[in-house]
Amino acid sequence: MNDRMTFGEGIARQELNLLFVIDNSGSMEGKNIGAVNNAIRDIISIMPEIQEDTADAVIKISALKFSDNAEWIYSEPKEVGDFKWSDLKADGGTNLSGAYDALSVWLSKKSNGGQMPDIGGVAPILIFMTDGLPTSYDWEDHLNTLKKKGWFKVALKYALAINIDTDEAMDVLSKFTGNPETVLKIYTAEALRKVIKVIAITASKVKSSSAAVNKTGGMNNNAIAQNAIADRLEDVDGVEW
Amino acid sequence: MKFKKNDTITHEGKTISILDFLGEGGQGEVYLVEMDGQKYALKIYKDEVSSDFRYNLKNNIKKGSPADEFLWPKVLLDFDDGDLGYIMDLRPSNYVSFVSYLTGKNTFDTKAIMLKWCITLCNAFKKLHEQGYSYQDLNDGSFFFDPHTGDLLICDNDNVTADKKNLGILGKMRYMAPEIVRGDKIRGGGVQLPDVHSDRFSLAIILFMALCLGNPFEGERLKNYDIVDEDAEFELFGKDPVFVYHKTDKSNRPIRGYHSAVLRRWAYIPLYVKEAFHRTFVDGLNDRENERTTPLEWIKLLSKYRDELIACGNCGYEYIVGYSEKKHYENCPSCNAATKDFCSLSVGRNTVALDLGKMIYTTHVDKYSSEYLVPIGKVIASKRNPSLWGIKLALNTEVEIKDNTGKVKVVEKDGIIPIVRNLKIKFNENTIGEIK
Repeated sequence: MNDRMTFGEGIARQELNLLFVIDNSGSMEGKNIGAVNNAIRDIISIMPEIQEDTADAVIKISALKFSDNAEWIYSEPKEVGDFKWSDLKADGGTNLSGAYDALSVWLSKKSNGGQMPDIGGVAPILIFMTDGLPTSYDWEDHLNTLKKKGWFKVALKYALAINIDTDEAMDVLSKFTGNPETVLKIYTAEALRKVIKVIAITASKVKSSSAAVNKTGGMNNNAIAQNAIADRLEDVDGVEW
Repeated sequence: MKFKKNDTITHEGKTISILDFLGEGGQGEVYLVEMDGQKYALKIYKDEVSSDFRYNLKNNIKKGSPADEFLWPKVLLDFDDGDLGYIMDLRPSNYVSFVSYLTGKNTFDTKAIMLKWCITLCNAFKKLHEQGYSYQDLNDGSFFFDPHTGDLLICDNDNVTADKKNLGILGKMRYMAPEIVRGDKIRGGGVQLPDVHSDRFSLAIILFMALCLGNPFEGERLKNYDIVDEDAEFELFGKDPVFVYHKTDKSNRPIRGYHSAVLRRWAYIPLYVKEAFHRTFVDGLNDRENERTTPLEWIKLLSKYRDELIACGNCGYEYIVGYSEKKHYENCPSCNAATKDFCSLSVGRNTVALDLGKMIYTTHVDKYSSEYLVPIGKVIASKRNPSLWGIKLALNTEVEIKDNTGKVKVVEKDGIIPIVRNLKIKFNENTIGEIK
């Protein structure tokens, strides 16, 4: 429209954050980190289609990698077309405490120094992937601080255990998601690539849309997303939950 | 995935070839197919559908599309293994999504073209309702537009049902009438299901979004919620919706710096359109049957809005003349250049600002007509002397014109009426217009 005052302007949208928390410690080297890199490339190529289907929310993507230290790939969440990926390399220890601290800051409102929107935010999607036990032994204290964050409580959380299924590892991850059903054990690189994709894309699709209502009333978007993800994961080999 | 590329299906003696996978929605998968040498879209449901749904779809196909704008199911595909699908036309490539308009990616060439699209939308819903259907799950994802012509396409028509019936999907909260979001109990048991009246409410939301680029119930109250989840949406759109421009309850005004588009656009909308929104979004919250602006009422109001648009000679911004406003612009609201001089055509109850490119419609000269979208004239400039303007006619009969000296002349049905002040135009025995 030849309309100087409004040209190119869009509707105010809610903000949906999708975050990948990626363990890139030394043990991830090889197939695992390769699968993660491939999966994220797949996702960023599909994401524009998901975004095009809805004006209810703007989807923003972030990634946090952690080994000896935790480090953000971008200093702030990026819109779908602007998130570019450089392949991660694996090296160093598994400083989970550092990752949880970075997450705690990130999960605060922008006006409080974090990255969550001050107005109109949708509960974020957190996808955590690791193949080993933390080398920082005080991780549970740091998790307890993280758990106090309102944005963490409402987030849709998934944890992927890559080639590790000891009770101890499961305990670490179940404590993160708060729900053993959203901890998945992954046994092959191909399964890892598929699972990351299914979760990121299905959850973004469901959660970027205004809440659906059926005859029994309003439906919970996190629950709808979890059911849809569970449905789709049935077709993927090499996954257990 | 139900099909692979190059699969073929035989259905009632016809061969359908699967050419490509186009995408998937909540309910089904969509494929590009070829049948009888023509390309179509095929939708197949992922899960088993209810017998009601199956019956409804079959019936809709049999009854046919209510208007050309609906991308209506054409052929039912009832597979032996219980799968259900249908064939429909493909969406032509000149159409872009209404979502892309909302996000600022695509826009209409002019405001007049955007209003034509809105009028077409109302007209399509009028026809849908007249045939006893209601759309039910009306949301931003169902609509498409041609940016240059304002043509409309309505997709996702498989939930359209006979009014007062429902197939289980009620909609997305941001686009729904509050009584449906709340699940109000109705007399005789059960809950209020989507119908013509809730469609009208949702239609007004879509129109507000088109005109103002915002949701009519999202304002200051958003600040009450850290997270806009289903509970927040239930309150904002169901339990306690407050129109952002409620005349007396100012608690939910658009937020400065966040709802910028709404704040800027609402200011320049004609009063009668504002009143129609207020009526639907304030009085219509409770009186669902009487206080929700109907598609026909919208058509009339939006046509009037379109009639009084004038483009700034300097920047092209389209503002209203303000025939029925208290305030008139002396300067362009966008670039502040002085507003230009123009003539108006006054005919019956209509007044049309005769700006270049302005269309005159059948309904302007025939008050019994409902052809709001059939033009009978267009304002053009003379090729030899561009400062001379006229109305190029596209009528079935000639018209008579009389200038201020009393001289009468006949203009052919496809001739040009010169735009000069005080010229009277006799369109027919009962309809005389005047240029002022």
